[in-house]
Amino acid sequence: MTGTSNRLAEWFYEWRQPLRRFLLRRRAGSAADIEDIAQEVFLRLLRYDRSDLIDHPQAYLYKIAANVSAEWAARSSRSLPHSAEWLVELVDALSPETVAGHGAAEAELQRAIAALPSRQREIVRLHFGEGMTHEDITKQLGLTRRMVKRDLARAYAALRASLDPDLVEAGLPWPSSGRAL
Amino acid sequence: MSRYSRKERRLEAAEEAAHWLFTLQSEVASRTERAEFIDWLRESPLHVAELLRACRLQRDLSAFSKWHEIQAYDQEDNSVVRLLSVVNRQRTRAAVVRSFLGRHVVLATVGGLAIAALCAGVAMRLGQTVISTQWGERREVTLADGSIVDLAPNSDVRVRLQAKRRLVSLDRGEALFHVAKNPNRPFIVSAENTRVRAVGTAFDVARRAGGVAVTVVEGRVSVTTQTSLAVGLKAGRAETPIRLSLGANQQVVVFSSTGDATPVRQVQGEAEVAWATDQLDFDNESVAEVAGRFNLYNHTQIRVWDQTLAARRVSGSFKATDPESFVAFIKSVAGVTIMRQGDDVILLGTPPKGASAPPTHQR
Repeated sequence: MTGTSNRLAEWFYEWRQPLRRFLLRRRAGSAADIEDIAQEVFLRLLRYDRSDLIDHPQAYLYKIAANVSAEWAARSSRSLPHSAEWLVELVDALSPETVAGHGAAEAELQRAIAALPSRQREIVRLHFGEGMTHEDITKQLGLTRRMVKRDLARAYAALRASLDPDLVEAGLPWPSSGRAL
Repeated sequence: MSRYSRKERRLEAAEEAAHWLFTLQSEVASRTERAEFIDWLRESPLHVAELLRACRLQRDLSAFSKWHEIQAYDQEDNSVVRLLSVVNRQRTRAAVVRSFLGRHVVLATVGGLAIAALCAGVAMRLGQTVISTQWGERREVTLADGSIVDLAPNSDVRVRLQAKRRLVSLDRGEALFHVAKNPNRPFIVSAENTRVRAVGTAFDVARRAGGVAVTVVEGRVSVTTQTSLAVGLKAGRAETPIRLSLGANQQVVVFSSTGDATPVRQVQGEAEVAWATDQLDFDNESVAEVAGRFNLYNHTQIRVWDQTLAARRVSGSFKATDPESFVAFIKSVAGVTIMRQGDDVILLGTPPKGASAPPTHQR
């Protein structure tokens, strides 16, 4: 997954990073953070003009992301004696602990992916494992676009329900490059 | 709102979120679609949260590095996509018509696709194959793993092929299983309180009035029971689940009321499952029972009026789809009156005066 198609996925991480610094500082659990962010985004979404949002949904989501991001960063740096970057680096460093966490996260993902119904699993594998587009997959499996999209959405929902967020959360490294903002 | 419905709601939102994520990423979203997305997003913080989660999941999947260890569609799984090979042996024209009009000719498949297009009214349940038969109808279905299920008339099975095991639930009737060998993926059939576990073998499971009969034709299976607490209390003793091993030509019947089982008995396995080859073998069974078996397979129904005849024991081997051969046999050995009502009903013996409805002999 490269280029602009992944930009929305990056959106989440733009939110996550400053928030994570903040929460690390407060030693809060990881469970509540998405709900917190969602609430924040939701409230801001309501403040924008609907038709502006419709014209440029992604641009507005980025804008909101950037704003909240900056606020979280400001709050976290105020509450830290050192630069906020310090904690991020600590988290990102591949200490033995995070290596183990990384293994656990991979194992957890592998378990959840393997448990998907076979066609969903294949579509997920072709898309992420072999980098095929939805269009490629329709040809490969002889399905319609609609079916591919629906299966993939169901696979997401199934993975979302079965993955243990704590295991995955702890383990997968932040992307070191290819950040698209 | 109950905990359950909230969970359901979340899953639904998760699927919607993924759908919107893909739509936006395709970058060909129409204005209408974008408007729907924004309205959806502004409906609830839950939607925002699920969109965030979908983003994160997408990232996690992108970062996942062990795709080579994820099982690809192999030849085995491909048969699922190409359709299950379904041999539908319907004998009488009437039965064919009934099956097309019928409400429950239900065939769904793992991840079920093409079958939906083939027959209307398909019950699509995720990851589950449902096979049903009606009166006079028998099906042989090859499952995606290569196992073959022969389904007797008036029977329902549900099949779930999972990575670690193959699960079949016999909800009604009788089925013969030819299990494709796979020691790492046991084949487990459950019927009422009984579970039969096999690796690669052929066995028959039949739900009958009062219990579940398990008959092994080839190989070996293990039979276990789950006695419910209520049953255990009723019987005035602690529940003692049964765990036994059955070999070829052995049969056991587990009673649904008590969870007890008959002693294992020796049978002619092939004869017991002869129904699957349209062969009905009877060994010292009553004419009423025999008529009932024939009636399952045929549109033409046999009614036995003569009570002495109904109780009479007969043995023999017949073609299931040829009730006339049995009628001819009875005529020759018992010398009873044969009457016909239209094309579809054969009466053995004379109905008493004033009788309005003939007795039926059905399992």
